[in-house]
Amino acid sequence: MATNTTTLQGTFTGTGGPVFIPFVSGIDWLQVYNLTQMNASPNPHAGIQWYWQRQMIAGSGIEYFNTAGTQVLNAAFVTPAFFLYDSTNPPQNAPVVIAAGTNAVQPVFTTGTTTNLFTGSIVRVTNLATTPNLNGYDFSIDTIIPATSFRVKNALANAPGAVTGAGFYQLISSFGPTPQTNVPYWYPSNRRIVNITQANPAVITTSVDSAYIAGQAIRLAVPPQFGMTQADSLVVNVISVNGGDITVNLDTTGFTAFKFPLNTVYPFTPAQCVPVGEETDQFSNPNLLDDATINTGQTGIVLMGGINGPAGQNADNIIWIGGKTFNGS
Amino acid sequence: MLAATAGFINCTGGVNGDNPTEITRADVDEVVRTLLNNNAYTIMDNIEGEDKFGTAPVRDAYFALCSTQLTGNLDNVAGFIQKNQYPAPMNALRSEWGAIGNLRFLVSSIGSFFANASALGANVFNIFCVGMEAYACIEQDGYSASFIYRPPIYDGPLALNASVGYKFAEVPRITNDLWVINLRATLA
Repeated sequence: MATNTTTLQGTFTGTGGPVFIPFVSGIDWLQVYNLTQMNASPNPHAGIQWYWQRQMIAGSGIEYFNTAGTQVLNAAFVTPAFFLYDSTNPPQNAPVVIAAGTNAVQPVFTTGTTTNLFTGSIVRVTNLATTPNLNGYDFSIDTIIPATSFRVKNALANAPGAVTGAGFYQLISSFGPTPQTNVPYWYPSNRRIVNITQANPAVITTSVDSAYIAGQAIRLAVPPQFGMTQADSLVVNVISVNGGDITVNLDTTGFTAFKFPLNTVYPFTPAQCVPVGEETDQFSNPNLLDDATINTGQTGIVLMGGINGPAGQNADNIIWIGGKTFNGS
Repeated sequence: MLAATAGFINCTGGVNGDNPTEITRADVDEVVRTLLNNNAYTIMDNIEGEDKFGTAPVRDAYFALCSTQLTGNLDNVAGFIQKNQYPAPMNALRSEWGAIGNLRFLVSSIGSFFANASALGANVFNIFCVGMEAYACIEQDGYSASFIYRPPIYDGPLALNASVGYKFAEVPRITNDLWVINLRATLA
């Protein structure tokens, strides 16, 4: 046997969505077994075993399944199943047409294609005809109606100012919201602010969920177009985080109201929060590297979920073994 | 790391109809003014004027790190000084393209950009304008990266296969976020 081969194995519980398995040294083959479905006889059938090898076309896999309602084994070459994934160089998904969007604090975008969108996915909108103020923003999304629409998850301070005409969206976070939530892959990264409440403590809303944690320090950048200029350049500490909302130790009750620039204000620099460090008394045994910027990039393979996906359905018990061969090509 | 975490300013002085726009002198002036107001030290000393045709003195400057894709746009910015117009071109760095105001531009073919990230879906190029000691790499355990080559003799009795690999042990860190600004621009 040649040297320099590696084999890894593991297990996970399915959620129904895609699952990412990191392989630091690369991967040439993978076998997956769904122990939950192995002894069942579901109708319609569910996959019980999968195989992938590097020479197979992108996204494909060999699926073994029990014929519907029986335990008679069958097989098929299926897509989608497995995708190689490098989070430092994620796939550039093609722009998808948006037909229209609502003039609301959580705009709803109408589109005929919602393939691969999940609650929490990150999309970038561009070329919106009547709301250029939204163009170039990345948004976390929710309320996905298949082949119909999706909604901006984190509410803007105000509606963008017009009903949105035709444009495009581009899926930035491929293969579902987890585990590829760090977009970009350096953590913590800056985020664009879409609202700041006039309250004590203030709540900052970002267009994409921040994944910040309590104790981190962030600097606010609030250009004049966003109203609350008193908050510009302030460094604040994170008290708590809930999705796209960040509660910080800042009293904004006397500040000018935050406003999201209307569609007539264009171009501009977005309001943003920039991670700059930490309040060390929030951490036990802090050290100088606690607030370093971390490279979370990983290489590996994504298993698609679902009744006929290798990542299985919710609560499915799944085991896998995969590796790198010396002469893979 | 800088692309993901540094604060940014969009170029807005251009006329290409995008957001950000192409780079203009007004955008450069805004960045320089911001770095000066933040008490960032310049990295390069000034180059004193000399009595030579076609040359101009160069101010002390911050570094602006960007993609080679931007070179044509830089040429068109008001006040741009090509490095061959420096009074002492030998003081220019190999990767240097020229200077605008208090920024000296260093270009790289692997300069940072975000694909399809502008308002109109064009590539957005990151121009990292940095003052002295704005960021650092902390090398852990006394080294930053190792490139490891093992000749075939280590493979086995027949010495058939060599191997190479690499490993990193370093932490990047912005030491003062006020001293680094990402000026974002699209192409004209």
